[in-house]
Amino acid sequence: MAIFLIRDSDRLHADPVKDARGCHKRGDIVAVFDDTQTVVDRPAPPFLVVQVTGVTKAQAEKYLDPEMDTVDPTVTIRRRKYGLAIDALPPAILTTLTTNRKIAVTLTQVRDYLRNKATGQAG
Amino acid sequence: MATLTRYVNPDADVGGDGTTNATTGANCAYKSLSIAEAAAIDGGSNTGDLDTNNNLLHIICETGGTADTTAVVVDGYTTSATDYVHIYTSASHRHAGVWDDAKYRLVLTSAVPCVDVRDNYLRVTGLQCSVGSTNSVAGGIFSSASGNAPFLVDSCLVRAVVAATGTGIGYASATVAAHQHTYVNNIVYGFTGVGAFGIYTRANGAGGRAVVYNNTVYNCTTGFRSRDANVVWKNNLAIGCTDAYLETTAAEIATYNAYDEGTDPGTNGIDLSGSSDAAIFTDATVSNFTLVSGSTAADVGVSLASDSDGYYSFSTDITGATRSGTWDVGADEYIAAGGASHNLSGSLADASSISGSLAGSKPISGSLDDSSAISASVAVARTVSGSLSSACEIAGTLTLQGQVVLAGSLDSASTIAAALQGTKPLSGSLTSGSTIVGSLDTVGAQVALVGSLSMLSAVSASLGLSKGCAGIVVCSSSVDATMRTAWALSGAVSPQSALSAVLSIQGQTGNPFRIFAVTDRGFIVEATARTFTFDYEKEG
Repeated sequence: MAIFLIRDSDRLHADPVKDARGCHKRGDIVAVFDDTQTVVDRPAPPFLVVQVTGVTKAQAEKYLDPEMDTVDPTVTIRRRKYGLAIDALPPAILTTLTTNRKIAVTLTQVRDYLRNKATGQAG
Repeated sequence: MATLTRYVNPDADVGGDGTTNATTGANCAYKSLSIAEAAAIDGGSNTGDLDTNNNLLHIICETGGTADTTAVVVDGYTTSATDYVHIYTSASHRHAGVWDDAKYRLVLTSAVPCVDVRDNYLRVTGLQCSVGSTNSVAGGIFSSASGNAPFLVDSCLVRAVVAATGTGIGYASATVAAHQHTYVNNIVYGFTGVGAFGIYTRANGAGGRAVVYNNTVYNCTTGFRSRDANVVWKNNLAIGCTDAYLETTAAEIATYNAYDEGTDPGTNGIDLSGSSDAAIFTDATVSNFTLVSGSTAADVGVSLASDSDGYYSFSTDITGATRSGTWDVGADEYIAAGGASHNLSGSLADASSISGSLAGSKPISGSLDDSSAISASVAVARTVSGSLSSACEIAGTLTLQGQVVLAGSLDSASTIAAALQGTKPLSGSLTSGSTIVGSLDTVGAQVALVGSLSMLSAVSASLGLSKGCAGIVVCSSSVDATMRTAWALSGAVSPQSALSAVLSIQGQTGNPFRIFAVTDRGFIVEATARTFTFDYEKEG
């Protein structure tokens, strides 16, 4: 199982370059942990916690990758390449997540909502 | 301008709001520095706009022993010269000039900098960064190509544990920026790969400048590099590097820099090519780059307490000790044991150990926590205003010629095996299992125990002479020794306390004196001190 710490709101910057490169957006996975970690009863804003069975921490760490420029791969253009499409989640999951600020799900339940932000493809 | 404070602790639970340094609960610390950065705390809408919200954000890093293994990118904050992010370690979680696995540290093995600086005005103080990748992008505290930010790095330890090809501390952007980068009192070592640098500075044109003062770089391919002009090097120490000072463009100012390779990069250079490591450092073989007694790097620098060029003035070293006299070069200022300039203002926590002597007039204003041990003597005029908690042990002597104030508490299983002598107001509490096996004695002076003796406290020694116990002796406390002479026991002795020794009250009783006892039928009764006879007032 992996624990996803997810940003629940957009962080904004007036400079559009820094806004994309530096600011986490709603649904961005900020950190991942293995299942040995304890989660507080009710995670504090601006973070939500999604505990996902069927994926390891090592596998989940791909969701922390930034999106790099295809011409100059040393330049970051987006803080996270992938994100959880929170608002597209099935209503039952979304309601629980919104109410409790955390939820335990299977990878099958959320796989289609972990998406490449540029292409919209499930990751 | 207001100050916002958030805490980081890798041993905290996941999901706290970072507002306290607790490790559990809704208000616990953030689990990593990268999470604290991502929280974008700004005192407003949490988008990271510190400038508009007129706030200074302090991120304080602590640990229960676990390393922080997540790289940090500081990006997306809106800052100004007065409203910025300051990342630092609290005193008890900071290294003492030598790498310490018990203190807060960023340990990375991936091909990224430990701290990638992309926002203006960031300050980083007292961090340890370990680089475990040979990728040239990997490094310590670094403003990468995506950044172009002025920042200050102070009193940090940056090491490479592989033949790293990156940079310890530096600024890589070729973009000209009218900013000042300041690197002061840092130690960098082990960047031995091809093209590696200890401290790297470039660009900084159009009014910008890199100010590099009192840093130590050891065993790096290049110690210090000036890629472009407007670099100021003062009081630096480069030892064991293939190239101590590399100037692609000559530094604007270079003075009082020490080297054991090449030539003086400027003026007043200190040639240490004839000095062995042992003649300079405490023990370079274990990466202890503090200065040894009589070091050839001592007393050869210039005071920057008031920088003659006006770029950056300071007066401490990497350990926080005050520099004085003729300054030493490098990050550490040698101060002889017993010197007058050590201030321990923080806490001794988590199995800290002081095996030497604490001599002279030094205030300990912090706490002695969790298994701290002072095995040596603590002599003369100590003020311990914090707490002695959880299994602290003072096995030596607290010899108190002046006044010792123990204003805090002696908590769970604390032990003072030595004598507390002199004039001591003990205003805190002795709680849960505290033990004083030595003497609480006086020399005709007054010991005041204003607090309480509570559950299971044991005072097996003598409490003698003019002592006021104004608190309450409660539940199962045990006073086995003699309590005698002029006691003012103004509190209550509660049910089940045992006073098995002589209780001689010859002085004032102050407030009504109450003694409780248990009748042969098991009822708690109260006797009055006025008559010293058990005068049953009630049953049940």
